[in-house]
Amino acid sequence: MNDKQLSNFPIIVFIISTIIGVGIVTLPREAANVIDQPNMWVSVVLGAAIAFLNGLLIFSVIKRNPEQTIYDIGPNVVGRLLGSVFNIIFVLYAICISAFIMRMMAEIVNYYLLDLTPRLVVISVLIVACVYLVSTGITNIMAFLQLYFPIILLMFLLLTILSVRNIEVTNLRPVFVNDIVPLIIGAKTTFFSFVGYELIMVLSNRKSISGWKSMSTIMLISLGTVCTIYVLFFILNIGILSLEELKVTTFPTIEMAKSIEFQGFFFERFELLFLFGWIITIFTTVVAYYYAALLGLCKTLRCNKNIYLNILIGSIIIVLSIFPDGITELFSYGTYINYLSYASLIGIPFILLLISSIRRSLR
Amino acid sequence: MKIRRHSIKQQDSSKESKSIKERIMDDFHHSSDLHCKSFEVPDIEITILFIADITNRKTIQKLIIAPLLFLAQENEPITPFSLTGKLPVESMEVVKNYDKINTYLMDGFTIIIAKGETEVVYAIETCNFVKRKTNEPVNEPTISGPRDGFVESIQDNKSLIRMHLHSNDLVFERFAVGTEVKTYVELAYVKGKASEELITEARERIQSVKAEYLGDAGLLEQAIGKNKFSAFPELTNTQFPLKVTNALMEGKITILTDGSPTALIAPTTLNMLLQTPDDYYFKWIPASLTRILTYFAAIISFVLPAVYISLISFHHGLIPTDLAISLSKTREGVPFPSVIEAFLMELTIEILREAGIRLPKPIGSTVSIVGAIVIGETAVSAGIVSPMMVMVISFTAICSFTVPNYQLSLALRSIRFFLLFFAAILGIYGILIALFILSTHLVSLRSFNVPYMEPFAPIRFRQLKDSVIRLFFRLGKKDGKLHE
Repeated sequence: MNDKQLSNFPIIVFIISTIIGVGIVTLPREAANVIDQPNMWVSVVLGAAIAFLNGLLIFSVIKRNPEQTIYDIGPNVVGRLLGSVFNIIFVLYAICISAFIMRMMAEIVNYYLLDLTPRLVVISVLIVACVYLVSTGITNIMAFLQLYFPIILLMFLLLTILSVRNIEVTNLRPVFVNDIVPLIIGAKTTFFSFVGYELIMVLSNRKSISGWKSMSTIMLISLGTVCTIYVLFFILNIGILSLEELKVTTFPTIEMAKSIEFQGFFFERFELLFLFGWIITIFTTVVAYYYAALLGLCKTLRCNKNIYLNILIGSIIIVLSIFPDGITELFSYGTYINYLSYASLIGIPFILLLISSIRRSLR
Repeated sequence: MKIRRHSIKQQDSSKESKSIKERIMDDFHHSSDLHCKSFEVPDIEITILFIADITNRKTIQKLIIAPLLFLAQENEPITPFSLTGKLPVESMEVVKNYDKINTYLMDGFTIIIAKGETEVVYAIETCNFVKRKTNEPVNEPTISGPRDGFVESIQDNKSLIRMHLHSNDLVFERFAVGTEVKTYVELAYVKGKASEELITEARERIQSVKAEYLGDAGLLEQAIGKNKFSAFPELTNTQFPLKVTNALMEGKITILTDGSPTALIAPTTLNMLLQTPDDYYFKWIPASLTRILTYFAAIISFVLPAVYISLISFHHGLIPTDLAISLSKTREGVPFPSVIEAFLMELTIEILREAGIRLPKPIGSTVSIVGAIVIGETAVSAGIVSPMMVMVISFTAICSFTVPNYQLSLALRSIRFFLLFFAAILGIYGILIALFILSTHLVSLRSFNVPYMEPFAPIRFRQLKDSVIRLFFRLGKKDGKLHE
């Protein structure tokens, strides 16, 4: 491995850790409802392709404004006022998405691990850990992610190996279905499980990711890894639970892990192992978005790293995350968050790209 | 041998209207061990001062007093200045500054005041401090490594390092630390291996220590460490010379303290604290297996009680049914919740361990073994704790003994309680949160600007081959550093 790749490695880890999160647990059900075909993993690949295209859009913005984060690019290109509005939208997006993830995690923790503990406690404790980690700065956040990255991968690998023998091949048939339209429509759903790569806009003030080549390497490796894991888990999910059961199971991947039985071992049920690894991925995702939100707020308000802002964001996330009443309402909020992500994933980069290229051609 | 000629002017001492001898005697408050002997050789009056118990009196008689008396018999003219070279000693320094006289005396030098027309003060090294022979470091036993360990004398320790590391690039720098009482501290590094920034940083930290008196390396370690709120050691301390020389060759620095058998190595990483020199003396496959075992035991030593508590009190559903039934049978009749049970047992075993350390050695080991067996056995039969809990706690304790560095094992012991607390409140989820907080702390720790979790986070692929595993090194190759 040469030096350039080595310096990109933390960023790849950062992006993969950000992407993998809630999606791995809920996506199979959502996709099964939309696509309704056993070969729906094709949509996952399509979703990854869309994400990569969106990544290229983001890259062209970064390329035009090298060594700046999205929060610096906005005010530079469209002026301070509009730039601040963009920043606030992005911050809001990051906060909402963290709150959504936190709530989802609290639901699952309440359902599988701690049925009596109040959600507020479950969420606040993780937010406290989050505040602490984010307050130590981006270098340490990246180091933290690198520490847990092998554990996450190992967990996924182990789970895959253990569940392979439970697959019923009939569930996976028919492999080739001619109806392509649902697969393409389904890509819209699967695309959102790749959300997280946009945080490269927060890391783009690093020198090492200013070139096309390194940027596309980062994106290809990270999206490729996540895509492989998703496809693997899709096949496992359908193979073990069957399509019909998948549609009605709230958290299919956990149920799949539950079906692993291993007699004569200390742990009989492996959903604990999965949940252990999965909460780590949730934490890494939330930390990444939390950092993005904090950085955005600090840059917009022009103050340095501020512990008060840090705690403020934490409390906003806690309040937002306990706001929805039940899990159905939570999922309906998910669609609103999707609109926010359209704005910050496609809208803002597109406007920034348009204006900066117009400015350049005028000059 | 350099001799600088300076004389303390007559006027200087006459200002005080006391002779130098009297001033010294006053400074030492006429302590009984400060010996003073005056005699006359033709033309000059000679006074000899030394502290009796830290000097070699035979040397003083043979090499200083006898030749001086012999000089008196010869009829050569003598002036206070001409004494240099007349005595058969290796070095004879002329003291230019009055304040230094006291330091010399305390370092075991003999002071000669020659008073003629002018007054000249000489210092001759005659020190003879109490010394211990080197023996095997008690805290760091090795199987096949060298048996010598550091002692209290800084000269002996330096000689041990020189003995193991024949290099002209090995540099010692001497500092006197302490505002009231000076303690000698030596900074050692290998020029060209250790980075200049590291050396400067170490120098600055040593010089900025503002303590009245530093009695031991442990105090110095706390004084120059920057992570005041961390349980983890910022410097490795060792009594094993080979560990020091290996570290020096890896570009680290070492700080020796006079009067302490402990050397401090910096920068320190967690990985370094979990290694033993023995790892390098065996072939790489058994060495790697030992490493894995050490890492595993270190993790067990702070995680296991917490995991057990959370399984018993929150997630019984996750334990296999047969095991769960037998577990609940053994817990039948135990009056406490499992958390209290765990805390009780932990507390008992920590007390036993402390007692074992404080008591004299032959009794200590007996007390800890007998105490553990008797208390454990009777507690179970009295129905206060369950046998499973005793097993878990004692296994944890044994795991913590495999951690090679004592300070690290102390840190892990305190973390065990932190995890136990979280597990008692939030089960497995709480353990995860506690681990997040712990790893955030570890990841943000720096020892002399080096990340504490170095080869793991941030990942250094090249160094990973000497971390959890120890791959073979390519001896003789240019990049094949022995201890990379």
